[in-house]
Amino acid sequence: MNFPRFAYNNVKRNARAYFAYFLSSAFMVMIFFSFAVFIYHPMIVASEMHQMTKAGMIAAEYVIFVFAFFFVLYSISVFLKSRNKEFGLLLMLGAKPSQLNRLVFLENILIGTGAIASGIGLGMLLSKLFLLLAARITETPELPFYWPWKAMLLTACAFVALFLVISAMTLLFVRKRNVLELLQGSAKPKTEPKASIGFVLLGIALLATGYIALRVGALDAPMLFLAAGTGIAGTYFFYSQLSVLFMRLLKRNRSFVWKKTNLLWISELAYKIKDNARVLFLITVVTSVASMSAGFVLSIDRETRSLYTDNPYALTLSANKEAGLSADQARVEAILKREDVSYESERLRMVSIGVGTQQEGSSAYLLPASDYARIFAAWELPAPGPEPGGQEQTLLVYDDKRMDRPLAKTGETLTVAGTGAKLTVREVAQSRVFASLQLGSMLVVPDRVYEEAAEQVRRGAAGGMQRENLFYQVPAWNGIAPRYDSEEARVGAELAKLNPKAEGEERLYGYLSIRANDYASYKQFMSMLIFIGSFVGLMFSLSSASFLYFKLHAELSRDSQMYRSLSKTGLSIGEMKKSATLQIALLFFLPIAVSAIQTFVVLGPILAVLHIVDITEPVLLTTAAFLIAQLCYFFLVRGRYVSRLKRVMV
Amino acid sequence: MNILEARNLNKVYPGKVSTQALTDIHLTIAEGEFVGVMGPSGSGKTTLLNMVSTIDTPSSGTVKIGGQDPYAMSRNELAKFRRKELGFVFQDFNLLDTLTVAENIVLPLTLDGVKLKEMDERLHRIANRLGISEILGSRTYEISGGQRQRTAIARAVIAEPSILLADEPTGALDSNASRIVMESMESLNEQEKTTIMLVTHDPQAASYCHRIVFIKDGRLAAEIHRGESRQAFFQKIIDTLSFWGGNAHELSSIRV
Repeated sequence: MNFPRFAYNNVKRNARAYFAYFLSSAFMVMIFFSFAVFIYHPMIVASEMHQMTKAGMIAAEYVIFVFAFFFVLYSISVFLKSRNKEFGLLLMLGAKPSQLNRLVFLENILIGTGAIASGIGLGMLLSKLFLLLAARITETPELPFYWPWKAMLLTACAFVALFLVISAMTLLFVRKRNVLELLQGSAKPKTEPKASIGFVLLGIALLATGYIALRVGALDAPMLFLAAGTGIAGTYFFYSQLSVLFMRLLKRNRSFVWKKTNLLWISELAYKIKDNARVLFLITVVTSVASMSAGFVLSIDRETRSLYTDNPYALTLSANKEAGLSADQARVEAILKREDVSYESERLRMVSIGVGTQQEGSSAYLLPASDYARIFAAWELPAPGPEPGGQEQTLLVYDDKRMDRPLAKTGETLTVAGTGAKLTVREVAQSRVFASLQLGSMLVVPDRVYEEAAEQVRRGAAGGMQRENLFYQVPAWNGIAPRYDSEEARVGAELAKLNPKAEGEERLYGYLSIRANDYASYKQFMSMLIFIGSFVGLMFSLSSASFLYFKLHAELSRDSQMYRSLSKTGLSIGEMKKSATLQIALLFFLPIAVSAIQTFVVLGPILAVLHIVDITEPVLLTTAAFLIAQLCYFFLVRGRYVSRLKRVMV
Repeated sequence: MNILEARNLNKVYPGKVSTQALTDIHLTIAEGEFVGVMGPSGSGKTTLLNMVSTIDTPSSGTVKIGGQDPYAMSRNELAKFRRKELGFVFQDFNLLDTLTVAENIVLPLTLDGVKLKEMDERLHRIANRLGISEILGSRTYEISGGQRQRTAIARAVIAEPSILLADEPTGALDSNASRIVMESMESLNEQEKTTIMLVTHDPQAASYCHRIVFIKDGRLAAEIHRGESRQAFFQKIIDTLSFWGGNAHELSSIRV
């Protein structure tokens, strides 16, 4: 039996001991790979996603990798610790330390290769399953399955590197010990750690840097990565230093600590504090990334829905000539009549013309006050503001969600190009009633001012252009967002054929914007995002739970020894349950709370780039989802843990 | 009054080859007594102690501690009972690394919800008695073996149990530490009137007892009482051990 053979047999015949390590490694490979499959998916690569979304996905992949590194490192250190006796025995039998190192190295590579292969295999299955599921749930065409060579290569390379580094690191674990220590196991208790002022300050500085990076200047990909890096490092110091400090302060309060089982669980926590800080940190980062991605997508989704609900017009027809609009109107209404849809329509004239403001060369659309008033009177829509009277005044209407700033402030004076008419901005109103036109700031002006400007444009004197709009309302279609098989969607698809984009004989002169179609195409893109977001969330929450389970499992033998000796001296089962539950609960729920705060802090500025302001609801929703998932894991893990401990109680 | 009354104790470990670990053991310990149990390895000393400790149940027979039958209790009542009525001292101390010496000692009291002031009073009284006042703030891995065992003794008696059960308390200690620990137990017995049952291999440690019962192959083999001199008692223990412990005929057959 040569040496590699010995290593192989060691793994093969002791499969049970290696299984937990193998499983946790394969699990991480699977998650990493499934996510890479998404990132490299041709449809996602080709999609017109916001740059921020893509950067976010790549950042998430990095986080998975860092998490995987620590997870694997943690599992191998636990695994090697459990085999100390075996190593001690081998040394006693005369194995050279270098041989021992080779053994551990070979085993690691063996397990690593197995984990990579089976992780990729399982990941392939998993991603296929999720792609299918996503299509079913989100009513979108399925993301086609493809051979993810790139993802495979990335996963294999990343994890081969990871296992090599970790194998090299494990040599340090084993080398330092002498035979006696190995044979007796780690009998030496750790000393209580101390908080250091320097690290506390460093942690605060890091967190502050991350906070500032998100809020200062334009948020771009490098800033995002800087914020992620400092934020993660800061979180580590937050846990490692603050938890130590907190425990020290807590222990001073004897009347609390010396009370019932408090003494037990508090001292246990303080004892495992460094371990716990690391675990809490990892789980917090992972949970944060997951709830950020889920919250991000949810916020955008809400935005999509408001795109629909804020647009009161089922159809909007625009053309730059009155004659063209009339011809288009006839075609559109013919289809609507054929489909037996009852509708109402209102005309809105507007003209784009230069308006002199401080911003040189800015132009805006002028709307005649009478058209503006008629639309709101006819459809009883909430008007953004009263129309201007005869005076040279204007009401500025702008879409608060698309525009950074309105064109002018209240009280400012604008000069219309060509006519030289002076307009005073009486009021600035935020409204989305004209959002479907996507025109930015619009000025509601007295009819006289409009007519003069329109005349100038017709003569070609002032540049600019005329625009005729026809708004359609279909009362039956209002209110709820259309499902893909509703009448609105069907007729919308029919009408879409009229647009110049589509091939067909009957082309429109202008452009018809169809609410249902806009919504459907946006929704399709969103569904994909939602799906990816929740997939990431689920994977992360699963992996953090399995990490906790692994940790508790590794500590079980030490804990059961302790509880056994305590039970001999009269610790009841109820007291054991209470003490164990509190410890486990802290590990499970503290990260959720911290990551909820982090998500709020981080998502705000990122979504502000996309003009989304209100994020409370999506973030709370994601946090709640995580809490529920975590509760399930908690009860599962606690149940198993307590029942194992119960067995050792006498 | 008898603190411990064990009658007709039998213990059979079932299995392919069932083992009769204890046979017809009778043992009574009166209040304030200091009783040793000795015997060679595998004689059933620890099994007997486990029965008395309520950690293991006898196959037949009864155990009464302070007039109560622990085997008729529920698990929770039993936990309370152990905490209140029994004090344990183990060979490997069984102290929690995570706690300081003081915290280890008061642990049973905190579980019972005793007031902080009373805990402090009792802690200092017992620490003074056992000479460990100086190390109350230390962690368990910072102190010597003898100090650890005295900490364990303090923990065992702080709830003022009716009986202190000690399982090889000197087994992991050097001779000097053993002497200090045994003197501590003797002083507890004399000053605080603590009833003690000591299971040991060590004749030196056993010589602090008032009375020693010998067990061999699960049966009571002998019982000796201490007179005035501990030295003479020690000699008596040695003699008894060599009589009951050695297998004279086997030895001789080898020599022949």
